[in-house]
Amino acid sequence: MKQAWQWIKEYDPVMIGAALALSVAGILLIYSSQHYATAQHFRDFYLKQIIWLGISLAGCYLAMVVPLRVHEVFAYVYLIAVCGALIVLFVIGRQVGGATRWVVLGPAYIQPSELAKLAVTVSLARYLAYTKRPILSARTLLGVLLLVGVTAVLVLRQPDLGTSLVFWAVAVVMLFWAGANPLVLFLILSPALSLILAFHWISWILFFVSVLVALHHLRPSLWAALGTIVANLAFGIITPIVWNSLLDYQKKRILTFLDPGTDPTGAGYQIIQSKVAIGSGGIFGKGFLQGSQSRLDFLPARHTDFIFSVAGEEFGFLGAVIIIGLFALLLWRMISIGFLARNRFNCFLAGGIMAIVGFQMLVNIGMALGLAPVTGLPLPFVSYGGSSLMAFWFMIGLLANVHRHWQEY
Amino acid sequence: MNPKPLETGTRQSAAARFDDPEFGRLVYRRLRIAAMFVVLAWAVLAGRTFAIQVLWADRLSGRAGNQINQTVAVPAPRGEIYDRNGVPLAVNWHNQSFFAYPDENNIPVLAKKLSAVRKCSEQKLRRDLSGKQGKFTWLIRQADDQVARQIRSWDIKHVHSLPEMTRAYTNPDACRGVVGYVNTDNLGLAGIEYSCDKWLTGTNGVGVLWRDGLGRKYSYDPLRVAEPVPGNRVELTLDLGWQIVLKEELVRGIEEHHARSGMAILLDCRTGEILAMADAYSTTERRVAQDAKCRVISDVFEPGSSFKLVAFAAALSEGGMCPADRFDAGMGKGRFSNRWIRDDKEHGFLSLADAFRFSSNVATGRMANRVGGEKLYAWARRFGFGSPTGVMLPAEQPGSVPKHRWSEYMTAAFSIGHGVSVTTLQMAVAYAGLANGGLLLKPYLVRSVTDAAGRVVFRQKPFVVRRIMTPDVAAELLAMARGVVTDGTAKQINDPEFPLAGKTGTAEKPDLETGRMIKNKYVASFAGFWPADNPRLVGVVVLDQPEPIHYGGWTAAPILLNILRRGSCARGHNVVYEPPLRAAAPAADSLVPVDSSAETVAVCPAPGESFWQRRAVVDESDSGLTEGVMPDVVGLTAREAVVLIKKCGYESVLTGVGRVAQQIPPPGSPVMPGTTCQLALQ
Repeated sequence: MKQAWQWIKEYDPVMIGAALALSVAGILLIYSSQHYATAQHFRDFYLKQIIWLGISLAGCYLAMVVPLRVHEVFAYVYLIAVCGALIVLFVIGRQVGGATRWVVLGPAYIQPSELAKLAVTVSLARYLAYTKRPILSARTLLGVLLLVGVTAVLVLRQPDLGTSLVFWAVAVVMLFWAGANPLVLFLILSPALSLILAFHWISWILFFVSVLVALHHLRPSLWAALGTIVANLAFGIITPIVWNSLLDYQKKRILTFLDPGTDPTGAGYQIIQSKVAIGSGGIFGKGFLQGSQSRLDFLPARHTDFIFSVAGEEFGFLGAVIIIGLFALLLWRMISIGFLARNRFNCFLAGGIMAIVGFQMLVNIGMALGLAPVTGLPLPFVSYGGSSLMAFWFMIGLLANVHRHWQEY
Repeated sequence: MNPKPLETGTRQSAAARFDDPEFGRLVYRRLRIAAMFVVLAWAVLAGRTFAIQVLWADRLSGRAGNQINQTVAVPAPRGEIYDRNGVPLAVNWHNQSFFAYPDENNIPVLAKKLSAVRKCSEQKLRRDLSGKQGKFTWLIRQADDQVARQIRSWDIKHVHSLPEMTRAYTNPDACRGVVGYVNTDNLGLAGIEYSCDKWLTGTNGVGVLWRDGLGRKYSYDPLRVAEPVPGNRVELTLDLGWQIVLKEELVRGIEEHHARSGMAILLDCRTGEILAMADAYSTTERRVAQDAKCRVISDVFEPGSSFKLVAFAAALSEGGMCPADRFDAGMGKGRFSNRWIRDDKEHGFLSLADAFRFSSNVATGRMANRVGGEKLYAWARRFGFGSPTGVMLPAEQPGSVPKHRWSEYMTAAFSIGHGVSVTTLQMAVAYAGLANGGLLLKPYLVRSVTDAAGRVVFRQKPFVVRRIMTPDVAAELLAMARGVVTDGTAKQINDPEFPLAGKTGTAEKPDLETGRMIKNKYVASFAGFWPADNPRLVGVVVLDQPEPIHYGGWTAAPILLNILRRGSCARGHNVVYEPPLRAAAPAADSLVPVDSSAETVAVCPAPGESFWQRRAVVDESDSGLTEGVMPDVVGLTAREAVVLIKKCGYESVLTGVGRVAQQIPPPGSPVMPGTTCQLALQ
């Protein structure tokens, strides 16, 4: 017993415990959200999730004991395999709600895009750890763009905008972690941000001013500065003009392409219902299995995207804060592990994994709280979904491994 | 062996970790930023959660409640109607209707079990149910207790039941005209069901149902916020036994005498309680709408000789005459203001008593002229003719007692019941006044109304409207009425074992279009009391066009005799009928003092007029009618439509026959009270 504790102690039990707590909470919430569904298929979600958790823990163990070097060596193989799977998906994938996301393997539905997150993170860590050039050199960025871009485009093609954004978020955080100057990163990203902010001209002007301030502060070469300004202006001014010249059905077509799960008019409804569910929970919640909003079909996707709302309704403010707290604990442990690692690959891996978990948590909970737009990103460890759970537990395994072998150069 | 991890948190230790100390320092800076970011994210999310769950909790909870909770009415059972002995006349059947949302799990088992109950093949059921997967599907409507218990015992998940109530009537043949009926929404449309709707309708309870995001009801057994208050129990003065006998004998009499239709009523002459009343049509005349009204109070007829009571009472009371006074019957015809009035038989001089007994028109006319037309008119009104009795039933007719320029002829015609119209009930009430010693009683049908807890909401006690004659005069008239049966116009019903008294009436029917009398079409009537010496019951039987014998004494009188005979025999051989009175029948002198000159009917707790007025005020709240908005009556029957529109305070004008096809103003349009709604029926 003591030996077992000694053994587990080296694999960061706090992190594993936090992840396990979130997973168990997830199973309870999935049960609660679907136990009154009419179809047996829905009522059995929690059982499936338990089975998936078992598989995931096995995967976690595997990641804990297989030397990290193996992943380092096979990183690109993983990525190619996943990209292959994503391509195969278009042929044999199962279409659900207008998006082709699942591969059917016997009784299991596998979502390759969840595994792609893992592969991209490992590959990026490998790439950034071994590049000899400065992080923000054009060649390095081109490499990153290639690594992330191919996968992201494949995922976007499914179409799944939310997940494809995760790759970019991971890339940005890992670049930052690998030593990129945040201001330069900001300038590089600014055209994309311009594109988003262009629809709200006050925000865009503020954003543009901040871009100019950053340029003034950094004083890059003339061409780089001019390029940034022109790109920002182009995206900021031309986009709205082009957009407004589109006909309604064309706009709708683009929006549905970007996010098929979300009807542009229906998104507001989902967020309102989520807020109503969370708000009606009050401080102490309505109690387990007592959430009326989630039970009565008001909450959409309550076992996946809006599972946090179920938690908020049934366990109240306390439950919600505990879940957010568990995530904070998890992220803190991940940062610590990244800090602990002496090896660049391990260190970047920790950064990337923290980025995925942090980004998905932030977007998902933010969505449930009405702070972020509705995207189909699941809440790590908690939401229903085997592939996602498996991928995240594998990441936990990797980090536990990093914790165990922190001293490896 | 693992070296212990270095102390974290210092720049040096971080830098020492990597092959490149510069990179170690960089990681340290990144770590700080990332940690700050985590803290920031935590703070933002927690802050937002706090705002939603603590600061806005009330508002959001309210919103949650609004969208989940659906207030529904828990239907209150309608009050039941009983006869005077507690025999139910109108009751509620509590049924269960079962429904489900079939899905692949329960279709096979449902089909299997249901096939036995619904008596159809399992394959067909399975096919039907499969076609309705996930949709609301009735499995069985209004199942009785046994079936309901059976279905419950299957214990199939997601099979729900809804309680439903249907109104059921015992002895509908006999009682329908009085008790009336309700529509599918349990709204009273006729008879007591209509007039006592206010009492019978309970107050619906309030229930809360959960509704899901798709608007489907989630649970079917509402959480009861307010319990329904059942409608009040209405106890009628009607006696079911008498009612059945009366109806049967009336029907038999109609067939026997080849009459088109008939009406009969039985009244307790000491209290004014209506024990039985019914109307009937011959089989050839039976009409669809025959049940819709109680003709005893809503149809008038020309009474003929039975109206002579008024003239004789006036002559004895005010004309200074006595039964022995003699009048010239003119050997069968008499000339009044150059017009002739005839008798069936030729009489010479007749005493007043004989004139009554033989029903001599001429002698009565002479006598009436001695009394005077004005006085006669006042006496007719005094007997209650020409004004509604205020019995608690809809559509009561006042009849017509016209005021003429009283020529000799008009006075005579009036005295023998020509040119007046009365209802059967009015006739019965007038004769009850004679039978009980001279008191005009208010007839009543609703004896008491009690709520679910047994508290009395309304009780009708015998009510004297006015004294119409002195007991002496009443006694004289009673003796004369006895004479009618012993050796007068109704002597064929004379039975020493079963002493009746009464007065016959035979009137030619007027042609309503030309205003002339039709030859050979008569209305025969008989008003009688029993027992003759100390009357308790008053009965009136009216036959429309009996053929070939048309005399009241030969047609209507035997019917009344049969009714009374059978009715009393049903309670033991020749036992004098004692109505089981709750309130002791008042002795003649102890009755409420009355103003004999009062023209109008005195107001008591719920007489006709004020009763209706109260109804109109109280009724606006129920059945989802909105004030100031025209209700939707398209598709309803004319009767339902008129009732509904009246309830909202509007008038209606009907054109056509059938159901409402079109209404102007259209449903839902705002209209002023008193507006007339035009209904096109089809």
